Amino acid sequence: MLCQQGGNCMSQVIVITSGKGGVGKTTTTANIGTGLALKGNKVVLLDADIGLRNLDVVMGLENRIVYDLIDVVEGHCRVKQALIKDKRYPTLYLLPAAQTRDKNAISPEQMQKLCDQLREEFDYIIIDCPAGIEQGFKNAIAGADRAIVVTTPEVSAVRDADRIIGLLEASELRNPTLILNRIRMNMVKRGDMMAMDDVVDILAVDLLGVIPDDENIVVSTNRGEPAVTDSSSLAGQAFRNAVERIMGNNVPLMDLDINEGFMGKIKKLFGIGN
Amino acid sequence: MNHENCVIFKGTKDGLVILLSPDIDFDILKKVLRKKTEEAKKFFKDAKVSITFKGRILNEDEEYKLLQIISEETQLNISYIHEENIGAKKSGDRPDDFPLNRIENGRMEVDKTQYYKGTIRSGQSIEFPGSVVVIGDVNPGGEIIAKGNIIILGFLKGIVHAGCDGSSKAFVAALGMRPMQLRIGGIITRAPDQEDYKEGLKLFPQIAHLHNENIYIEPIDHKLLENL
Repeated sequence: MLCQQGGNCMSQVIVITSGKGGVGKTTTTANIGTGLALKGNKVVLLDADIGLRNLDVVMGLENRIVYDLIDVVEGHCRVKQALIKDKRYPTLYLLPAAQTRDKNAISPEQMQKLCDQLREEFDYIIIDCPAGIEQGFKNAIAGADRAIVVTTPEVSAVRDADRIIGLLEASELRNPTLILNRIRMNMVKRGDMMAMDDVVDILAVDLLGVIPDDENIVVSTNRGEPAVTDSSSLAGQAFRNAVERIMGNNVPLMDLDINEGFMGKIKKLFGIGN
Repeated sequence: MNHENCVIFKGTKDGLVILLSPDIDFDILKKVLRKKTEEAKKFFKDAKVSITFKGRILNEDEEYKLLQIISEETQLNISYIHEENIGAKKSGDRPDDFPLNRIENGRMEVDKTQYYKGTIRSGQSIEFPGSVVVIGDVNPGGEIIAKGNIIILGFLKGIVHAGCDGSSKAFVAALGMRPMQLRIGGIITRAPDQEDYKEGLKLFPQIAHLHNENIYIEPIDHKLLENL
């Protein structure tokens, strides 16, 4: 809890949402959460995808789950008992979802109460929102101060992101910021993929980060080690930059072009086709 | 003014171009055309030509009358009548119910108008028993349903329904007209398929209105406004 003099505490509850499934919410939650923890913040990751939990897998913590979110809300255990401390990053905790229940097992009010409780202990509470716009979404945004919307540069994802932003604004979660995920600069240059500006024009929100499509993400997910910890991963670097921006530091957007060009040249040198 | 010059024939590789004066009275025009075609009869003989009328917008009746004169006076074999590219239209040719015609002295009264500031996002719907002005875009999946007119100061990419109670006098105007669906009164239409994705991003003010069960979309530029 970041307390200023006079007891003014500034915890932030951030919900990571998208509307569309599979665009990278869980990956973003894991990476941004871990990135913030690496910078010394006390962070808890909250998996709100009840019934289809993934955050624990991506973080590599699935075999340490004893209690989950629903146990806490139904009073079977205290919050501290359900929180899993990540042994690799001392200020990072995970509150996993339940796998054997569904999204009706918790209400927005319960979620809000839980978030208020967590505020007393943590600087950042990052909530992994499920796909869709129904009960799961409503639960996830209930306790949030701000939202990060994740989308890929594809028409269907952007359409859903637009819908979600409309719903967020209607719930008083104004000015969400955008993570544009899985961008492929070579396709953008060919005109086969939407560019960053196209997406931002349609969605009319501020950009938090642009994450290039990176094979390292697949590897890191399978290993349970978020890419943000990997210094050789481009996506990891992009997430590190996004974390800086969340903390208030103005970092310029990575020039994804240069790297493509360099790698392209290297590949050509070795006669490896693209 | 020399009436003789109100009809001038011009031969081009595309056929016969007949330049008509826009100001002169139609009956005088017919007389001059008849005289000139009679004079040029021997020159034309029975050539096969296409005819283009230029310089004056003719309605169907007028065009028919002029063609009749030509066929009466000459032996020309008219293969087809070339449509002149419609740029400026004479005000007389605008249908009476063209929405901007209802604006007298530059003013028009509307019952109620709701203003909306910001982008209408996918899934958002505005319904209003009057006219609606949006200062922003309407994204695909967004909709506006109004009894009156709809004006969008931005890109229209969603669905709009003006005159939703069946009124056919309503219009839709937008800075970027690319609706998923556009409805006026009881008629539904959609924008033509975009050839060039980048072209579709340019702002180009247009107005859509209903006339004879068809929706016409025309650019709002100085030519349209001059000729109202």
